Amino acid sequence: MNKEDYVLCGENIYKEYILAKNLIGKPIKVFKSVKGIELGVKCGETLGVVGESGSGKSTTGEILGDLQKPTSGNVYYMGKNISEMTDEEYRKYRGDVQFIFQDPKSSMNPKFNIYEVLKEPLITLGIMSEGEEMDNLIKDYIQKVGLDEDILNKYPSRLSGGQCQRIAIARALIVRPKVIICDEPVSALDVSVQAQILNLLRDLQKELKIAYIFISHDIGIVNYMSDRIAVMYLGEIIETGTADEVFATPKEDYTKKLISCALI
Amino acid sequence: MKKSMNKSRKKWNVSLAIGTVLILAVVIVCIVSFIYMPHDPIEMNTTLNFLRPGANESYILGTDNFGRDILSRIMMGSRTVLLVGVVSTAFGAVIGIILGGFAAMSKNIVSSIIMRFVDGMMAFPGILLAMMLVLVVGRGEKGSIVAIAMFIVPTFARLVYSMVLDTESMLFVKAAKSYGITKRRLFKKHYIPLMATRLITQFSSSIAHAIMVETSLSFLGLGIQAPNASWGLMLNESRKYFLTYPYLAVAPGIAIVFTVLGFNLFGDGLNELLENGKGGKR
Repeated sequence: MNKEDYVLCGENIYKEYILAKNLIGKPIKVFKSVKGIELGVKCGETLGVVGESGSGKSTTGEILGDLQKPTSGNVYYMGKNISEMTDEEYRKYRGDVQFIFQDPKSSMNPKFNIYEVLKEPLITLGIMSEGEEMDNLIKDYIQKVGLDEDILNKYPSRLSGGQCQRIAIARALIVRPKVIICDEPVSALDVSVQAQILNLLRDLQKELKIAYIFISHDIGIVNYMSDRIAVMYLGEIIETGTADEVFATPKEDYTKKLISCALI
Repeated sequence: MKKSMNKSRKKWNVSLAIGTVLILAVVIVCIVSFIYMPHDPIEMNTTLNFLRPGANESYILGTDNFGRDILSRIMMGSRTVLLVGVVSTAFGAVIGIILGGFAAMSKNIVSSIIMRFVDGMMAFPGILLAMMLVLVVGRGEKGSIVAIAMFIVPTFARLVYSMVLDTESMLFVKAAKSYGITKRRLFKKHYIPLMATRLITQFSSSIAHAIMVETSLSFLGLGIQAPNASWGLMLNESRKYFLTYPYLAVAPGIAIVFTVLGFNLFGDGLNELLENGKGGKR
């Protein structure tokens, strides 16, 4: 695997959770969530990660976004190991890799109104300070995700799931990232809203040239969104290839099963 | 039918109302004491000692063994009660919030040391701890404030510690970390607003507690020193004459009970109001 080809990639990633320790603190029960994964996403493409619950796909996403530390293995951003980055480089990485989570409502502080939700990343990443420029930028992005300006002084609990997910997308986009890790972004939404959100994500990708790592358990959605697909099963990647390849001619039985489930 | 529905929606928050009235009464008495007191609370007048309430029109609540006006002394004592109660609780709360927050967010050996130290402080009976601290810091107003503040710290430290651990697992914290928030900003901007209702409630109950400790300390002669007035001190002075002149103890006793009750009810009522409003309003 050549690190230079990828914007963001993980090499040989293992993640273990210690479930129980004995008296002297030695782990006796370990759950291996991710077992030696190699995964990378190129500039402007969508990498779909598909697998059943507990297959380690969300953990992989969080490790690539440095929300969790891997037990062993390295994550590279633009060919640089993130654990060896200088503060300046790490801040760049932190801004360039953003997340969209499964449950849009609980991904926002209930005490923040939408304006504050969108303001936070700009301030914490030091992109700009409060003022007219920021107001305009926030309004721009609200329109970009197809919402009205008057939503800005509402609170997340007053919005629908679809509206909240649009806000979450705007929050991820507003810092101009290169990669967005979408962790089951539509599975908490109604089917009719799902399609809107997926199309919004695709349109924004075309416009802004962002790479997505699209994590989902639904291979139909992944196929619709992705250029390449990685199928995960019990913490390992069992099959990779372009979306058409994997969908049309699956090699593994597990992939075939997933596809047959999606079509029914 | 319609009437009963309206009634249940506009449920009267009794605790909050009574608490507010009682606290306001004490605050008004305190403010008035700076403008007007019927007599000088410190001046002694031995010819007029042990006047029963109502015996002399200008001494409504009577006079004590030195002939000092009890009403004036109660009014003067309200200053001490509010000052020591509010200031010490504020100090204690701020220190407790910082300690608890720091311990919960750093999660290393330092946090264990802080929390075990706080547990240790909680193991002491409150009044004993306060007495020890008064002896170290010195008697009087300043000593009481420091001692009671220390006594308030563990409550807030533990409350904040547990609430931060609760909040930490929420998704929006993960989202905030994904755009590189600093721990300090996370605590200040995200955690504090979420904890505010619980902290305000706790603050009110802690004031009640602080007032109890203050009067106890004064009663034991470790708090406010004579000839200054404090309700606890008045109780202590009345001890010797209590059986013959019970009214000496009744006036400060009632004042203490109503004040403590006021802050406690206010805290309860506030809790009810804020907790119920949380789901509906936002």
